Amino acid sequence: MTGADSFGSSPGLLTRRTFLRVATLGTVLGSTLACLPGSRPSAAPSRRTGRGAERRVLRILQASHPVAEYDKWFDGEFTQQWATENDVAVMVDHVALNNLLSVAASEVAAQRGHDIVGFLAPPSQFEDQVIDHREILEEAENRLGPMLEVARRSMLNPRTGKCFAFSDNWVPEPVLWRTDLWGRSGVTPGTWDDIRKAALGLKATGHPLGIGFSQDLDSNMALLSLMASFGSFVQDEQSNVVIDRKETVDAVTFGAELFRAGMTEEVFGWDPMSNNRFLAAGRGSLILNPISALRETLRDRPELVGKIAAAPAPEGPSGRRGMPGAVSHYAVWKFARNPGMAKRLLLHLAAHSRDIALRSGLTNLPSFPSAALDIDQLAGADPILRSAGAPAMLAAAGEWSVNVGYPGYANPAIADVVSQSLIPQMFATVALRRQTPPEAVRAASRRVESIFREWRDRGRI
Amino acid sequence: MRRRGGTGAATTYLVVGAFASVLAFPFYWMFITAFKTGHDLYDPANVPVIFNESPTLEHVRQLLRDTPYPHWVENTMFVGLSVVAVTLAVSLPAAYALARYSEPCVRRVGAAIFLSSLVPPTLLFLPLSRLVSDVRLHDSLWSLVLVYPSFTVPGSTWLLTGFFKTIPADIEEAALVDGCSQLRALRSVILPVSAPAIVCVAIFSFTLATNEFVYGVTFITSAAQKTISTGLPSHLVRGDVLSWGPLMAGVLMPSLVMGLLYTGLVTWLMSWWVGARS
Repeated sequence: MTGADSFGSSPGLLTRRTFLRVATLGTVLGSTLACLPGSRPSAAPSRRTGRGAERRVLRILQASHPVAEYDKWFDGEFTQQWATENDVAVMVDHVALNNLLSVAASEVAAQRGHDIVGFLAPPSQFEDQVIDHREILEEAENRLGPMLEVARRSMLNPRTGKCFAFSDNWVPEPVLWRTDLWGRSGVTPGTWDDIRKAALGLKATGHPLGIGFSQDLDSNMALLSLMASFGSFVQDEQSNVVIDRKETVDAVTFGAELFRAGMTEEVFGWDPMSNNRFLAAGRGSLILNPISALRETLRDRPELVGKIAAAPAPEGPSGRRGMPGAVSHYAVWKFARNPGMAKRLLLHLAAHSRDIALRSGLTNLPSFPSAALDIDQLAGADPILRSAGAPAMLAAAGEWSVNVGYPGYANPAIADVVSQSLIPQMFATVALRRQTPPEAVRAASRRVESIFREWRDRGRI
Repeated sequence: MRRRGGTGAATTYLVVGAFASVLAFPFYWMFITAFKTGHDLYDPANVPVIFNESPTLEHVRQLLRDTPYPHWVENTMFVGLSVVAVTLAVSLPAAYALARYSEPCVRRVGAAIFLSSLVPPTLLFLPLSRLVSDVRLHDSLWSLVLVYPSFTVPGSTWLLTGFFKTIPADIEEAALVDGCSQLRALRSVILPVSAPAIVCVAIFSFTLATNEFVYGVTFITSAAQKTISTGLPSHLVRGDVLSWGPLMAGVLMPSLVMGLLYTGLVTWLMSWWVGARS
């Protein structure tokens, strides 16, 4: 045997030929063993009753909740208890929020997947693929009273009359601000004008404002809130585009002034986590975000307890209006295997939305206000929320929160405007002095008109 | 002369050290983030590249306690090794044919294999969802074993083709003269000589398969069926809350294992190859 036939130079070691044989045999054997039935965990574990009959499996897909304990409770206790009572198995799967639409699109393409998908924005693009949820809405309203407008206008398409989702809860988006830093300015962020007055001083002390001018959802929501409080809207109640108006120019002019006075260029690269990081790092003096950011910050920075407050959306010349951080939209696919059970579960969710609110740390609030009339007391019993002065803000959140697309309904055109981030682009070009406010508004209006025309041609608005 | 040698060595160490520092920094960053307390991580007054407070194992505990991380590791290994097996089984004969036959149709097939690798997964995941559903592999790891070779096979075939072309045909012809069949010549002569290329392709395919995200996140939704690349973001990126510590711990552990494995494997392979050819 020569050196060329063996590993290394020592004769008698494993030969190449033996090595190849062993490796090939190992690969084949391993693959074969792996292919044997039962060698891998099955995709959908069989759910059998004590008598051996197969139980129906209801599958839910939703984004992971910012409060980790909420998912543990929802997946492991709440839905399982309902499953036992209804002799059905419930499986809850989670994906990151950014991937939810891709997974939903994949299920539509395959016409197979989960029974219920929990979206956090109006899934109007899937209207043709979901059942009409009006029956669930009517039954829930019979039992629980009227649904909040911020939720109702996010799940109904007035043009087709279809209710393309069902909302059991929603997430308000208040202002979270550092009371210790703002104390020196002598004002509180009650109005947008107050924020502008304090901005320069806050930035000078190294604590700028954190309002995104970027292509993420938080930026879209914050700037739509600013516009709405200036009386500027993308569409009217009849889904006509009305963005090209004086109020929008005023809002954009104000946004650019606010940026120059109180923000840094970081806001052009804002991502969904930026608000939280900005507050937790102790740099930011104000953000617009659901209170989950407050909890996360105080978990890692307990020394900030009592130094962060939660307030309603700022008031503008036209009033106090704020977009929600999210609205839950549970949608049952037309190809769901258990649509009947899915409807029953959605009604169960609505009926227990007070429990859902509590377990979410009051990040989520019921879409049916009568399901939890004691929100301020619940929040008052929570030391973190009490320290932030949040109880009153949460109790009144339904009054100042408006849906995306206000004063009209959420529709696929509005969804496109948000997904293409036309509003942050409009603000950013003015903030960066690339366009004047009227030019930026006209440019945005042309693109919005084009989107609306396309969806109007498709008969969806 | 000695002084010049010393200067040369110093320069070498300086350049290598600089490169090593740049390459090792992501691992270092993962390491300190995985073991820093949340407070240490977020306080801007702290120096970010050192431990300002005592290290903690809490993030590792959280990863192991709150997620099915061991399942994800197991699934990743299963998918990675299966894809390597499928890739080699398809690429080896394909590359051999492309290297040894020069008919026009062979060249066209070679070009087609190459072109197929240019279609991005973001375009393919929707039609492939239908396919995966039709063969009833939705939410099964086998869907990934089925689909991943679609991007590992083209690259691997081209790598192996290039290598096979460097092997003199004389060796193979000698084997044929000695009475080997074409298949036997491939198995007994070509493959042993090609071991370095095969290991290279195995590493290439394994890395591609274990890093893939788009197919993984759309075809697999059950927590217990996920791989590391899809499980970590699905369970540790919660809306706008990102659990940096557990996320980095989850990435650091397999990175270190794979890094050591690759380094050891390549070192062993090169020493074996050099020894075998001498």
